[in-house]
Amino acid sequence: MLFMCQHHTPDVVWREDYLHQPNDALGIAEVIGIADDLGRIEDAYRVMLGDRVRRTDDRVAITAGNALITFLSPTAFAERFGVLGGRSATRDPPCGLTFSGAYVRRDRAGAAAERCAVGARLRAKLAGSARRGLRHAVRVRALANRKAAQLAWASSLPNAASSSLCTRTRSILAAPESGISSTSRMRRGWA
Amino acid sequence: MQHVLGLDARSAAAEFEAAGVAQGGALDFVRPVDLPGGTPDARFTVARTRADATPPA
Repeated sequence: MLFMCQHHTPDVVWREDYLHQPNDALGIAEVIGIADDLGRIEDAYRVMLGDRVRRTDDRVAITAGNALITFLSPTAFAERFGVLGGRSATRDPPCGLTFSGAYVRRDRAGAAAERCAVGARLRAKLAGSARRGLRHAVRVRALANRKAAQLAWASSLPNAASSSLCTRTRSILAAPESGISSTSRMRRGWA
Repeated sequence: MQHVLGLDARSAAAEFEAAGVAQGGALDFVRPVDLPGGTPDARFTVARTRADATPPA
């Protein structure tokens, strides 16, 4: 199900104390799903979103405002997220989130320190929520000299349907510690 | 569709309906939100598609 919600009172819901994320995420840059049949995905979403839907051999990309909804083939997902893209009969297909962020330090040393701080906070969150059954991985890509970073979260969230992805996205942003198991692995690749 | 990713849920619902994928019409709802200064209402309008209109990934 695709769900569109119009806020008439954003000042009540988008509260200041909800908007600051301890993981430094500033927004959602991309929601990523995995699909065996990209043709079905393309056909269904094209009915609703027209030319916002773009198809290539290994993905369907949907432009959604300033974010992107991407469905990847299993192979493309594995190429992007490594072994985390593997599927099994015992768990739901994985999906991923990409968050946008920014650094506040301008100097090179400060940027490096900030990157380490981001990594440490992420590791703490991963270790701090051990009892959930979800496996996550975090990739942090930092652009040190541009004060920008992207935090990509690949996970095996249940049900990769878009509506669930969006719901889960909000829940992770609202409570970053939730749903992350101690088996999570973090891979860091600085750009 | 011009409104599905825009700001107008009522128009989006109409577009869903025209495309044959709507789950009912636009739905308005209100819920109270506890804030330090009181309990104002948060108001929303939603537009939905049928579950079978978007295949599971």
